[in-house]
Amino acid sequence: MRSVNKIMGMMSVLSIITFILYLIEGKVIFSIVVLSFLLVFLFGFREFGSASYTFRLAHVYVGSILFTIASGYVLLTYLFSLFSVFIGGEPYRLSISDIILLITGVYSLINVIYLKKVALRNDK
Amino acid sequence: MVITVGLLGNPNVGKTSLFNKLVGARQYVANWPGVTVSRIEGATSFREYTLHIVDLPGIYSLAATSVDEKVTRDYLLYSPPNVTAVVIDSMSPEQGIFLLLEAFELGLNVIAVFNAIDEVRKSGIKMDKSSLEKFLRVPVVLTSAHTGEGIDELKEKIVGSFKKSVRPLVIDYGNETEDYIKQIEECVEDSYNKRFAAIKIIEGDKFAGSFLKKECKENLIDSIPQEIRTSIPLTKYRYVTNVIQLCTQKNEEALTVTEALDHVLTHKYIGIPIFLSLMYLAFNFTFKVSEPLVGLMEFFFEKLADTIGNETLITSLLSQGIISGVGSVLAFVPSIFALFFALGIMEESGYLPRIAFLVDKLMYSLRLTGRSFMTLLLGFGCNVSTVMAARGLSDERERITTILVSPFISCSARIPVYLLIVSVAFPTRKAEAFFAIYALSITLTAFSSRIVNKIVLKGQNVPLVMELPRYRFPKLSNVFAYMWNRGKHFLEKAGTIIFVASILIWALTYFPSHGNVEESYVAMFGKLIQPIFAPLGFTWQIVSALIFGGVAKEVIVSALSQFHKSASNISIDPATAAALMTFILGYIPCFATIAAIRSETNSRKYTFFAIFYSLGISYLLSLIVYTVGRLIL
Repeated sequence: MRSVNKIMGMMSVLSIITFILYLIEGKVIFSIVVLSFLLVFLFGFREFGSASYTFRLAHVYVGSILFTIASGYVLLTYLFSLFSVFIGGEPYRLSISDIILLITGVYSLINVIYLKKVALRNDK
Repeated sequence: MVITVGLLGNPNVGKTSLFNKLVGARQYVANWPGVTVSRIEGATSFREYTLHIVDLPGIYSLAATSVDEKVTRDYLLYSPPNVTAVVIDSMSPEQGIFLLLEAFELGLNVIAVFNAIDEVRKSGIKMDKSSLEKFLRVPVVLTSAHTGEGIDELKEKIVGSFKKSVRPLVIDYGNETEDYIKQIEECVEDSYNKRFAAIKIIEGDKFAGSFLKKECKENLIDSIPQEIRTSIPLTKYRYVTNVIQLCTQKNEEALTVTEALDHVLTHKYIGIPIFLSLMYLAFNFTFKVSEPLVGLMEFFFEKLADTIGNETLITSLLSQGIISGVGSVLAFVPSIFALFFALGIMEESGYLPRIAFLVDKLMYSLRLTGRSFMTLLLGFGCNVSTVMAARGLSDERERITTILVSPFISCSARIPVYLLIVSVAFPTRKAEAFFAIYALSITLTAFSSRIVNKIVLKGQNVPLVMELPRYRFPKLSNVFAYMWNRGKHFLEKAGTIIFVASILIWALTYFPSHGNVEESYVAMFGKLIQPIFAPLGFTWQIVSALIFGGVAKEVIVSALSQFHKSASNISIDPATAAALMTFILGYIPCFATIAAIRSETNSRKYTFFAIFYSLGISYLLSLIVYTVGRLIL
């Protein structure tokens, strides 16, 4: 099994980059959304004690789900904006931060599927 | 031949889903307890029989402590169905089997239905059906309302049980308790099941007094020792635990999905920021997804109204009254459905009830419980639903508090009004403005709960009880059903109340000066009372629209668009818009909600309180928002 700390580190780096890029672009509220999702990983590093490994895994899993949702939201916004063309509007233009978020989202989705398969069990 | 089948079970075990599968209905189901508060009936044919299915409100035991529990018990007691299917959640069957044992005691013809069997298999638990049948001594069916598994077998067993009922299991409570049971049985009226009534009397059931004969001595009940009273549920739970141990096999490993999700999503530091972020995404999604469609519909209705013109009385009625009036409201249908789609996903996944857990400290200080929070959540669809669902709250004070504060929950009727205002006044900050009004709605509800508890209903604190459903991947059909059930009221109202109100508004706008709005009856009336609302920055058009909005909030959109000839001509400055949204949040419950409050509280005092308190607080709050808004917006 891949290292949970490595995945968490990688996700943290990607989400910090996304957060900073949104902040630079002036999308302050959305950057706060990204920051709150990023906190999930950062709090994962704070898990200590005998069950720290298991709980870190929970942080990686849930953080990845949240980033999948955020990137899904950007993707859907883009796709639905294509309809604007019919009423003379312009489709949504994906920015650099959006693209980084989409990449993070793909990586997150892989993590979600992987962790669900190998590290978590279904509800009792 | 007709077989009446009662679906009995704990809340949130999938009774309504099972009901829908059995009769092919589309009753609203939710991933939280307490959704069904009154009986729902339906029928289906099976072989030469008609199965008349009755979905009963979920209860934990036959000791009625709340209105919905009493609905269920009275039905079983006074008009028992031919067959009672006790639906048990296979994932946590303890309480379900407990209820099953009570159904035996009542002498019902019972089938045990272990639902969600697909989830049990996924989690690696093995459930032995034949052992269950052996220890429970009733027909057992393993079903999944999700996949439809076991539904045909259930129908077979219903018919089988109807033809030949089984001898029910009798639990032995030990010599001492049994002596008391026998003694009390003597005092029970002949029309009741004596053993069941005696057990309920010993347990201290608050409605059980009616089971006793008049001549029976009252001190008989008082003389029952406490250990005898507690021995009954303890014996049942011991039996239940043994049955589960003998009939299931579990394998323990790492964290479950729900445990992992709960660890983070209900985290004391990051739980609330995550919730707020997800709500923000949901609102933004609503606007971004629906914007093109809303634009398209507005464009269509405006073109249609222009084509018809407004030269004559008839064309004015058609273009202004009907197309512009009703069309301006209908244009927001895509936004409303998009919002309920997003909320549907949150609810269906089981996340929404977690918010009750996150805010439990606050809830406790408001003397409400997790269940009342979930009841209040229903108000996002329609406030009437909250008022009705409050029946499920066992504490009377909590029930009244929930009913009285429910009008502050932003119902779907207010969505088109907010959408119109944010589009006009905050075109670049729609989601933020929308988010703010929902946050204010929750804050005002919380604040009002405190006020109601402090002033109107004094008394002791109630304990906080949390019931959290499992997380599950949202099923698209359920999300669409949720979206449709919540959104369809809007469409129904567009064809009825909004249609009639729009014509009335048109008439009052058209006469007596043939379309000159400034000199119309509505303008005369609006200008007369506008000074009262001048401190809030409201024009006569806004004031008149608010009066029409008393019937149904959506009518405000229709009125405003008729007063300005078209929705695109409406102009409101940000400070007034913020004050207006705040005022609409609670200024007066709609007629349907007032009627529901009156019937559920059976009190004029509470009904007047709901009307005048909300009006007063909305005015005051709007004044503050307008004053501050003028400084910062």
